[in-house]
Amino acid sequence: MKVLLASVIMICATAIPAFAETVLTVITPEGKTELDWAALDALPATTVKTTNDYVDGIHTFTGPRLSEIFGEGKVKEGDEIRLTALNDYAVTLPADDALDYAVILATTQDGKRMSVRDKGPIWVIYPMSEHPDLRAPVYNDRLIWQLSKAELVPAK
Amino acid sequence: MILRFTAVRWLGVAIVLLALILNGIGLYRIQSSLDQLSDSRRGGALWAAMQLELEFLRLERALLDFTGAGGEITPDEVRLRFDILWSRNSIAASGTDGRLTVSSPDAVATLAELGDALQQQEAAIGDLQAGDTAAARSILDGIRGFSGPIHDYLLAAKNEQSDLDALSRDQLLLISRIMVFLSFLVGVASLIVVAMFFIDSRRHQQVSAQNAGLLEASRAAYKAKSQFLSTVSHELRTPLTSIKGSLGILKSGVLGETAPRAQKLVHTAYDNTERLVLLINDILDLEKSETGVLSYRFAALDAGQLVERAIEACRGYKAERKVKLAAQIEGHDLLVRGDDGRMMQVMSNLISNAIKFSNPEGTVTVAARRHEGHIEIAVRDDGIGISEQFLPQVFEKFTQEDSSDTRSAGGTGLGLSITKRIVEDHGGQISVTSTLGQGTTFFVRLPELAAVQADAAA
Repeated sequence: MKVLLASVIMICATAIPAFAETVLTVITPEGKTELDWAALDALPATTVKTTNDYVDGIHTFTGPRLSEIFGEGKVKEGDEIRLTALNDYAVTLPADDALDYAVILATTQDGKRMSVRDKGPIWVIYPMSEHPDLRAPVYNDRLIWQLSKAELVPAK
Repeated sequence: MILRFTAVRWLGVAIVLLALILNGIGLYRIQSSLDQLSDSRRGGALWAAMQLELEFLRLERALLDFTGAGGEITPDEVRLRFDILWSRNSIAASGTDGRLTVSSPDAVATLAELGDALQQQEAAIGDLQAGDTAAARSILDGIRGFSGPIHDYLLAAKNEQSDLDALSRDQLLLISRIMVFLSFLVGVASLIVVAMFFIDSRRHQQVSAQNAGLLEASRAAYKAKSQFLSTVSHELRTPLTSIKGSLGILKSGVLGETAPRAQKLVHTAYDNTERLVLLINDILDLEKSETGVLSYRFAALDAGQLVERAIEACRGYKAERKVKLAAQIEGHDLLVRGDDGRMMQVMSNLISNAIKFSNPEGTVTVAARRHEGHIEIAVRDDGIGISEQFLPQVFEKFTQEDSSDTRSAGGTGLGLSITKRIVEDHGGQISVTSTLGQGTTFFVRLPELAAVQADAAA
């Protein structure tokens, strides 16, 4: 089963550029969903105005809440979320982050799409300007860019 | 010695405080050093350089795969790798938080040149068609030369990070050494301060023990002296009583007429003997009042009658001064609870004082009345008065305003002290008002005894 799932993921991963419309792969225990721009833009969007270590000054980021891309009420306290980028950079963060703060999957920066060359297409953004406690290095590592995959790992 | 002691102690306290402040500064400095130490965060120089090299190698491999097997790999995948390398290059070039990730000039140049090379290949990558191995090979040739410089860039990043680490480590080591030294200093200084306080308190204990000893000794000496005084007074009284008795018999003429001149001498001798008896009684009373053994027999006492009897008793006193005595009694049954003998002592003391300090042919008025739940007895003279400075001291022992050898009044200066003690033992108060040159009034206020209580007391 695991091998099967892994091979499916691999096929999907290599197939991303072929099916250009797939922007984000969402994995939950129930299964896998591939979201294209239309699906992403259909989700309720949240705007976060913030700065971080990788940009100068305050920028406006817009996109769906990380807690909502898995389906309404799916993310619970104590769960973990594993995020993977196009360059295979991956990070696991506590779902509490997404529940406690307005953590978004930014699809636009200052109203414009972000290219792969510039941290696109999706950049995970924490509202660091609003919550100074989020400026600690541990959160800095969670600002994953070129996001391609989000997986919900429920608490055991 | 004491000054040096205090100085050392304050120096100790100052050292402790200074060391604590320096420790605080040291801890604060450690924070910034820790920030620089092993900056392995995603934004750190080393991570950025490693990712740059990794993505360069991945693009290179994608292009090689594309030229070799073809078909296995799509142009879109090559373009994705190209875009990611582009992003890594711009991240390394722009740095984190305004800081260049690697600052050596060669490294900066490498990034700029790689950026230029990527821009030159941009169009070719965009136009890359499946199976177009020639185009892929041309792109590969365009970037291949960067393999060495990018690795050098990684090494430069690694070196800069190690230098930074070493610097931070040295700083941390220095700071921690200083802090160890300061902590040691704090410990030593604290010990010194504690020792100082300990020694100081020991010395205070010694001094206070010495003081207690001195106090005890002086008390004993005082007691011995007053006991001596009391014994001597007692011993004096016995012969004095016999002298007074003999003189009294001589004076009365029972033993036959004496010559008028001798009679006068006998009178003088008798008066002075009486005075001497009064003085000795005063001294004995004082001794008793100090040791707290004045004894009382309390009974209901009419203040009006007391005043009249006291005036009668004092009539003969200093008759040559021709001072008039007047009683002013308001109301009846001015009852108090008192010892008849002691209260007579109080009254005669006050009245004889008044006569003594009154002007010749003046008037001493003794008044008794009911006033605000008390019985008030006032003894008023129209004499020289008491100065404002001396007034608060009149009830103290051995004091008379004119204590020079030429004083006119005589007496021990004990009378008012004993009077005050007796009045207070009766639950009353004594006070005085005076105007210099116009006269003095002493007030004795005693609690009034209600009729019912008077019966019980009687």
